[in-house]
Amino acid sequence: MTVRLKPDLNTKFHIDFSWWEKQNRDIRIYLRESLCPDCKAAYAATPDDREVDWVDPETAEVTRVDSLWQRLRACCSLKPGYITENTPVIESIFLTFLANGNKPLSVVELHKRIDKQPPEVLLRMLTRGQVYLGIRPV
Amino acid sequence: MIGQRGLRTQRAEYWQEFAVHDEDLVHLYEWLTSDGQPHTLDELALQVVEQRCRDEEESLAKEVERGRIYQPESEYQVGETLVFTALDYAVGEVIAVRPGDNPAYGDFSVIAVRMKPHGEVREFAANFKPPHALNRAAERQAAGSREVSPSQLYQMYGEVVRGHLVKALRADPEFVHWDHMWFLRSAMPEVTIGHLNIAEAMIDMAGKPLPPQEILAELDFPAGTKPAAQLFALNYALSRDERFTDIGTSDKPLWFLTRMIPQAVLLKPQRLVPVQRAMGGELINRELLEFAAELQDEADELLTLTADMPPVDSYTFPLSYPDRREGTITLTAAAMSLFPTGRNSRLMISFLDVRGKTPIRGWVVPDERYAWGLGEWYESNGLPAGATIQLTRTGDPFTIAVSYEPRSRRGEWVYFAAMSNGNLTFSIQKRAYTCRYDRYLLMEVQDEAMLDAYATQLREKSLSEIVLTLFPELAKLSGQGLVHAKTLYAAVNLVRRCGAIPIFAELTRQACFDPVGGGNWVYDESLKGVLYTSAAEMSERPRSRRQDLIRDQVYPYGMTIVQEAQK
Repeated sequence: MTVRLKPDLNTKFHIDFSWWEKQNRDIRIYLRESLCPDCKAAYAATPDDREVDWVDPETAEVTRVDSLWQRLRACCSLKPGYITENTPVIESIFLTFLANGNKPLSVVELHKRIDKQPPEVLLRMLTRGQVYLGIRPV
Repeated sequence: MIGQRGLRTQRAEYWQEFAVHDEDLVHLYEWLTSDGQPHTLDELALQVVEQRCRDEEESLAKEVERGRIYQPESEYQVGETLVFTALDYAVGEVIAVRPGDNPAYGDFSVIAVRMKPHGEVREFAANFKPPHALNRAAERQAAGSREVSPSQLYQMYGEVVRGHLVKALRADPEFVHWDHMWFLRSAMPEVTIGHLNIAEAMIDMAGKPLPPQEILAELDFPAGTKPAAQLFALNYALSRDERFTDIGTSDKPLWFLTRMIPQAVLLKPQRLVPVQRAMGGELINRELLEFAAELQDEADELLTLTADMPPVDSYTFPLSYPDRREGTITLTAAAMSLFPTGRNSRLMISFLDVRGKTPIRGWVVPDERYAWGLGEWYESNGLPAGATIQLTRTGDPFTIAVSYEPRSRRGEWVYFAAMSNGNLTFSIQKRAYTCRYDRYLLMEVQDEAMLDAYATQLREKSLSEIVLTLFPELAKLSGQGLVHAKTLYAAVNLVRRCGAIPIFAELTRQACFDPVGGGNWVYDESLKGVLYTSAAEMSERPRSRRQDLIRDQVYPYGMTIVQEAQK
């Protein structure tokens, strides 16, 4: 029998894409909405739905990613307005995972990156029952 | 962020998670053996940091021999073996090359690499022209340069390394330390019992403490050992022999014979140990708080309030009976600031008699907060308990000027304590003194031995009982039954070492005592045992029958009047 431990401050979270499929929701709609104005305009002119090579900035390891997501990581997520003070907490977490290639992070690590709410509060928000935007423990 | 990608010793987390390994201790052992002299903990810790960096460089060099260092900007062929510095020097073989697919990067290649030892295939960029951290790191590696040097790393993380290292060194019997220096047991020149006997004789004959260099000059140490090693060995051996005590400072150790240290310095005289200390929050009326400030009793000091007190250049205080008997000065925080402090629990000092210009050998015991050595000076100058003494800083931190203000001989009626039928009684007698004094604190004792025996009898009595015993005895000597609060404090300290605050708290809370002005209090036996419980009651004293009662605001001790007013 698999025993699932209760998530704590060190439990890693990520975006679970299977949740999006089960919900019949298209994550690419969210990706498009998160683009900066320049990329939004460029994407509207030449929509590109294929996968491309993504080069990790630290290891240079190559992974295949959605081109829309790659555009968001390479350009939009590096701009100042990507996450603002007014961005809701859950959305800030979602955008953080999009920007880092969905590498798992604990609430402590998320708190350091988004600087919103203490880790304990983030943990409660992510584990109080309803799954938001597919963000789940790994 | 510091760090050259791939070099672990360049990363903050490497040092934040630092732990001492056996290899570190082996390296220090070899280094100290070859160097042949002791070193400080700082020097040892820096050695460890440097060695860790060297080890990693050597390890890197070996890894590089296993294959070509991977850089995204380079071109690779199938069959080449690569070393991935960013993946902890993992090694893999190129098994395929394909064109890269991302318009954002321009033209580039993707190599498929079979990683060792498990054989998983991962893809990496090649011919990659956009800027990448691994290209910059490889340039630095090729140039043999580090972004942060070992000494800079030590500045940044030395505290962590020192903390772990000192624990490991203490746990290893091969490493020995004296003061802040560390050395190897096996590398120390042997100090024989004969050497120690000579050292004892030298100090005995000199009649004063000697620096280790002076002792060393007379000892026949084996040739070939470095002077620093000899000095360390001697200091270490002397520190392990109970005959010797270091009474110097960290910079200048001084060895003395334990048997030549006065008993009152080796062990704090019981008469100086307060049975009652101020705890803070005691309810005391305003006038009594002012008296407590004048008395400057060390037992009334709340350490939380004196921790950051600035040092003073001179300090004036009334001599207490316990200090007069022991030839000591109990040291408040202000008085302590005049005296040297150091690594050792006892320091030899000189009191410079300002009038006679003669030095008096003395001692200070910083941890116990007292200085010793003025007994003869008190006696020869006829200074009574209650005399005003002044200490002044000199140019030498180990010399403290001591003086009193001379006055023409003048008669004074003083309290004279004597034993009568097993009880302590007081009389008023005329005495003449040639110094400035606080007349309320003047106390003379007829027979000190009998007083000591009586004090022993009172050991089980509470402070409240002692106050209730002594106050009426003192009151009998005044036509109006008046006892000054400071006199009560002085009288209690004849039989029990106690701060002024606990005594004044008794006066304030007991309804049988009433203030009648000028610091004087009176006693009403009919109210004995009745206690006021609130500050308001203690101020108003509603049970008092005195027409001349003075109502005085009551405050909790340790809280300033301003703070209380703001509450």
